[in-house]
Amino acid sequence: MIRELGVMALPNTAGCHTVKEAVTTAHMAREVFDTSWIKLELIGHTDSLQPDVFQLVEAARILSGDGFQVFPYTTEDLVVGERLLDAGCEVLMPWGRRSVRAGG
Amino acid sequence: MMRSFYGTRLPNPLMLGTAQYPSPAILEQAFRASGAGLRRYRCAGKGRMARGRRSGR
Repeated sequence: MIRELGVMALPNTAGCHTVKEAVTTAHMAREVFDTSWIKLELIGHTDSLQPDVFQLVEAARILSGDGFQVFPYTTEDLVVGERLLDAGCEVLMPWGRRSVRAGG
Repeated sequence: MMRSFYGTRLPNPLMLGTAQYPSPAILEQAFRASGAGLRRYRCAGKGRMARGRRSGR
């Protein structure tokens, strides 16, 4: 049904709390949904849903190296944003804000 | 408002989730009414996901 709507799929790693969980989930998602796009979510704080930015950067680097196009769910921290871009991301998804592309 | 992500141009960058709609029909209506260009899918992780905890969006 969704396929008939003609929209792009963006699977996510919701509920993942470790690099291993997120990377494994991303690989499964790529097989199931036949897309290399992945919204990378690595939760560090269960109540606030704040991302674990340290693991996020590590997972983004691994997945970018594995050929994924990563959409990281991150905080507003500019340095973390720069680290994610260095890790291969071209899009940032700061919590509570609309997505931001590298270069504006 | 055309946007490009990783070289793919989308006529509408609006993303909608696909979870917790009351029915598939309402999900379809939401997508058609919004004109969303992206759909998000939650892929179950281990551990806390299995215990039904919330996840980030």
